[in-house]
Amino acid sequence: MTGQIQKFSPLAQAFHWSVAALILFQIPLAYYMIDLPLSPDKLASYALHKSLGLTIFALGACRLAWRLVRPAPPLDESIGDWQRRLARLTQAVLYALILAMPLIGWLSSSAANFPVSLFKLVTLPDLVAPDPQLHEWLELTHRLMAYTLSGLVTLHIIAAVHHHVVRRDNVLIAMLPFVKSR
Amino acid sequence: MKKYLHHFLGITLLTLGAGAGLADDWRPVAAGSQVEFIAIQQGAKFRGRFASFDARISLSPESVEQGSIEATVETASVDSQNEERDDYLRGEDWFHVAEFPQAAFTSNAIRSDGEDLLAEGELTLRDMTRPVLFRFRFEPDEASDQATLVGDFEIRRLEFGVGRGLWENTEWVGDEVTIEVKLRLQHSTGTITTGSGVNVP
Repeated sequence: MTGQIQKFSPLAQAFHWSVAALILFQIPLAYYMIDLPLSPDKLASYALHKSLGLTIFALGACRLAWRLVRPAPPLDESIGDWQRRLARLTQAVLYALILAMPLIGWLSSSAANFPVSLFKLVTLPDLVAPDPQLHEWLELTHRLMAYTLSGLVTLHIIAAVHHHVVRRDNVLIAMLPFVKSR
Repeated sequence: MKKYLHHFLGITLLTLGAGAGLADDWRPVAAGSQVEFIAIQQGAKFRGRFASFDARISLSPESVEQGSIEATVETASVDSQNEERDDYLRGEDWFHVAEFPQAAFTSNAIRSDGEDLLAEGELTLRDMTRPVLFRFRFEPDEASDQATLVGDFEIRRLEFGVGRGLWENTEWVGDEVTIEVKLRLQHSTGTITTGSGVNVP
């Protein structure tokens, strides 16, 4: 490793870590709220979950758009072919889920005849007419995506730690603010 | 045979009624009738309906002041297109359908304001009765012996004790509810009663 290491831009880091923090909050919130009996607390939890989901969608879309403007720094040459492919695939599916899950959730709410608002500031239009059957299907899809997301986030974190601790390269550092190099 | 007898009786009574020129009585038919509500959840409106209801309406456009409206809704037939929410609405904190299976509206006076008809009356929901003003339009269709009645009124659910305990807080479920009624009415000549109301599938 010679010279200045290439890092993600500060904006890319900001998008990455804000989305990461929101997802790490969102998943346990989802597990908590689905088992609540119907109550104001449940409606409040769902409302928060929807607002955060929409925020994740917006930040994720910005992150992806910014990545097209400023591509990710190249991976260390020591990283093998299959690991590059796995990393690329994991990240692609993560992006897909980050963008698709909020939309599926919104669709599911509309099909359930439950409104979606962004922090009670803006009420979003219903995407589809109420339809219990469609709702069931969308909810299942959202749930399966959540399991996939949980798995991939875990894999993503394990990989980052593995690079940092075992391989001792700059993969994690490239995404860390305020850290120049090892 | 029984069926034919019914037909025969029906036709006879119909003819008798028409001949005697009885009051303009109307009963709803399922096709074209609906009772819907618009409520507020998480600051946004959603629409639901009641599938089973009935009405006895005595009304003629020439003398609306002599008219009267009596209507009932089966509270258990609430349908907000969400089973979990419907089960909850049937429960003790909301309509408590086991104890209060019907909601009822009875008019005290009907008048016209030049544009619409206004029925001052009372609505009973759960065990609470409160005055409501039902604004509607009534359009008989001579050719088909049917009429259309379309109108709405607003209530505050908490005045009727609908939504108790934690639900008295209106942060997540609003207090105001609009009831929208659209009835396709069949002229009934006084003597004929058509079963126990309308059930819209």
